[in-house]
Amino acid sequence: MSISKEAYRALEGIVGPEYISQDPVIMDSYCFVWGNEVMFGDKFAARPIAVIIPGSAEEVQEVVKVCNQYNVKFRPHATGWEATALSAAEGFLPIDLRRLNKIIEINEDSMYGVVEPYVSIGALTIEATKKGMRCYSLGAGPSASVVASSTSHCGIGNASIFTGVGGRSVLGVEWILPDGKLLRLGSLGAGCGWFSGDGPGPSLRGAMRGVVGANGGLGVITKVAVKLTPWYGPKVLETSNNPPSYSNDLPENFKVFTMTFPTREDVVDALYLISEEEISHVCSRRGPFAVASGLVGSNEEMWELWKKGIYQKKCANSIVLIMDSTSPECLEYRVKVLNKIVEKTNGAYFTEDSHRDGGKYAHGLLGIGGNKGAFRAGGTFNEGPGAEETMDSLLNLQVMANELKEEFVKTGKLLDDGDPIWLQPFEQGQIGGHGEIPVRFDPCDKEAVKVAREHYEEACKRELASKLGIGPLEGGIGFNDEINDTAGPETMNYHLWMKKIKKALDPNLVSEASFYTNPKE
Amino acid sequence: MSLEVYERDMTRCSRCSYCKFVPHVKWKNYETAAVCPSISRYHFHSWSAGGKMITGLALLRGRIEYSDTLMDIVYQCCMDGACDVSCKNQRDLEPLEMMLSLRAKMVEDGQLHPAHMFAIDGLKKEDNMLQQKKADRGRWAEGLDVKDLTKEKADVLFHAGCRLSFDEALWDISRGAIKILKKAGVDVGIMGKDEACCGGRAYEMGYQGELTKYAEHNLDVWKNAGVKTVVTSCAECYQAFKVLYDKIGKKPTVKILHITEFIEQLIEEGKLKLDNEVPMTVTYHDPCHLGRLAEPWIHWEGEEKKVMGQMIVHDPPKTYRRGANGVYDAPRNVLKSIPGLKLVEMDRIREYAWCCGAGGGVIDAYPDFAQWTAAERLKEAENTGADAIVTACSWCERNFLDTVKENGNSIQVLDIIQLVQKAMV
Repeated sequence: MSISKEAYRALEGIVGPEYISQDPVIMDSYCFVWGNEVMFGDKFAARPIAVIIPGSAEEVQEVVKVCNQYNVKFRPHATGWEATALSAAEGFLPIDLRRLNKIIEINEDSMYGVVEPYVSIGALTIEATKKGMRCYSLGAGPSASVVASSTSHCGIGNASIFTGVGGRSVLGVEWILPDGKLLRLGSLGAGCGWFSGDGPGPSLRGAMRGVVGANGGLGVITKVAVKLTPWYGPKVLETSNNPPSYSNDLPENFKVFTMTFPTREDVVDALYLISEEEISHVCSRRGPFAVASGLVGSNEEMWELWKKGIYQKKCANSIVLIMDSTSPECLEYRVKVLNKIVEKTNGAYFTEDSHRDGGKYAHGLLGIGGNKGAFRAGGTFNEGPGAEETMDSLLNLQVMANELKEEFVKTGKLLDDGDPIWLQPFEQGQIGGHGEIPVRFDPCDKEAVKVAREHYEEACKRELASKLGIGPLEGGIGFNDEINDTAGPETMNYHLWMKKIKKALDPNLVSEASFYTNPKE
Repeated sequence: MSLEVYERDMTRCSRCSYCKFVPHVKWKNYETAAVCPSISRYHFHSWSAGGKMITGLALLRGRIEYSDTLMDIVYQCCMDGACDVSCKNQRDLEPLEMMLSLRAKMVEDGQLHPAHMFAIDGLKKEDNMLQQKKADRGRWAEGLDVKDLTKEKADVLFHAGCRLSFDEALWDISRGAIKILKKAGVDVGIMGKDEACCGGRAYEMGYQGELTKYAEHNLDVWKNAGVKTVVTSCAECYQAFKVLYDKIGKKPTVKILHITEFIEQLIEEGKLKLDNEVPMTVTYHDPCHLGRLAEPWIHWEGEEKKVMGQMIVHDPPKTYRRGANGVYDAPRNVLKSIPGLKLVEMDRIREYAWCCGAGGGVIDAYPDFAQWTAAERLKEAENTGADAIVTACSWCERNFLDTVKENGNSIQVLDIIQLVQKAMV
């Protein structure tokens, strides 16, 4: 795959020479991202054919039209913080959307925010918080894009129980289709503003993103409006301490709890009850390593903490919860309810650390922390079996995922972290939740990379065989034809619908789809 | 350290882009969230610290070759270390050390930036970074009646640094420092024309041998002068003396103080009285070399090992420099000691401050980029409503002054020394 001089000149004519390059030195930083080692066995995927950074939606549209004219495969990325955002087996044109970086509107009356692709979760959160609202939180952390996580991925986080998930927060959308046509979804398409994703106006969210998103394989989203949820805390979260242990001062009428349970069944029972009672802002089932790693500043500190054995012993089945409330009375009531739930589900509060005072853990759980819990220990991270399902189904997935991980941990090439599947209920549990098992390893260790890949492949097979989900990377990371073609027949042939959508919207097949689908049946 | 030492760090970069921003928990406004001038100005990922991790790895692997683009990527960077703070808030990686090694490799391989070659040639001939005559170095102190430590003895040596020795428009600051110290009864002297560069800027440009040369020279000079304390009002010199000399195994035996630390001490001891009202609102710009880069060096030698199968730890345990232990409070305490002065803070301060744009050889090689970076900072300062942006580094001041002149900003640019002088009876 290469780009002709004519095509390059045409693209350069749109953005100017400052914002396009085919210098190998520059292009190498557009084929390197953390998921590459598992997907391709190396940090570098195929080198792009050029890189372009348009400055407006209009320029994006012109770029896409030129790509159609000259048969140039393109794939957009926003902040690029995604396992395979910049990856393919064959070079393509990455459209770097970092210059589309504006928060267009934060609407307090209708509670939504309108943003361009480079606006991150952290950015929208910080600005919405000033107006008493917040955006959905993301497990991927604050540097992930709102546009990408809502229109092209799942958008799941620790606060999904309260804020919902990105994929279900989408309202109006400005979408440049793979053929260069501009489509406005929802109320925006009827000239009625951004407030609704369904109408008046075309309701095509299903075609645009389905469950897990098209991962940049179906044109370019240049603006999105997402739902915002109420925030009962202060307009600015105060922080204390120094890096790497910055902590938030827990707002008035907020509390943090870590609870431990004897069995995974008890955990799920507790998650159901917590969801039903609507008493939490953040609710996440964690494992011992995930709980402990939020408290320490380095791997050396983590190792010292781990050697004490407290977390392995007590936090194998744990839930971390941040409770928000509108008043001291409300907080008192919610604490009483939680006490009852803990009692009823055989749980106990874990008091050996500072969780009860909030502090170090709060910013991570509130979605403005970072990626240290996943990436610091081994150097990189991958997901094992995962799914968006009912909590009961996720309970079964836990059994399979934990057993599988234990098998692979025995090789010594995956971190023996004791972390079971992470679970987060969505929307007060009304539509189930998300589960995924973390796999941590060192990308410098070739054998470890190989084992991580084998774990991924085995996870795909077992998850499908047990009919517990579609694949370990259901979050959109590794969705590709191989998985779709295997999983589709088992799951109502969803993949055929994806192919039809792709065929209809991308007649020239220029919207690069290594991590979406091709139209061939 | 050679670039190869950082191959594992480069491979472990996940491209999270945290290096481009203020640590998220410290964000106050989206418009001041960016912390890296290079990526903010040049946009392609290669210009970020993460991008340079990738570029370094690609170079080691032979995927790319030296080129003008690579030169720009490596040198259109102020080496301000903000990226390092943000990265290390999450990870146990060393992006700034990797970038220093990449520059050193380029110099070793003969990939020299023309503008830097000019500065280094001047350094080798005249012992300063401003291509000025060595014989003129002491002119700034004419008429001050200060001890010449090549002939006399004193407890304290005031080291002016290249910028304050030769930039006449800033002589108020170096002369002011001497006046303050003398007023407080400090037994102070200077080396005059025999003062030499600290070597720090050359080191940042990749000419690491120059640091060793000047460290050895300066340590000898200080020893022969018999001083107990070396004080400087240049943040770059301070960082070189305190951190870099220690890093290369040449830790000074004398006490190293920045002028703001010394003034704070004099105020505390009652030796300096600031009684005059200075009715101004000011905002303080943390110089990178006085702030995050001035965190004391932590020596570590050992090896990486794995526990729990794949968790990376070190034997002996390694403590990382993460930027919070620089000099942040002393300048603020001095400002707070001035009657009538109101200090207002910008969004990006302390270890996550935005750079002035002058560092790392940028002001020498890419003056337009240096001024672009300064303009961003001046805008942030003006948004606080302050009458003046106050700093404690002569390189920051020069760059801010040039930018104000170019862009017509209304905000004043001042050194803390100038305000202390106003407050002295």
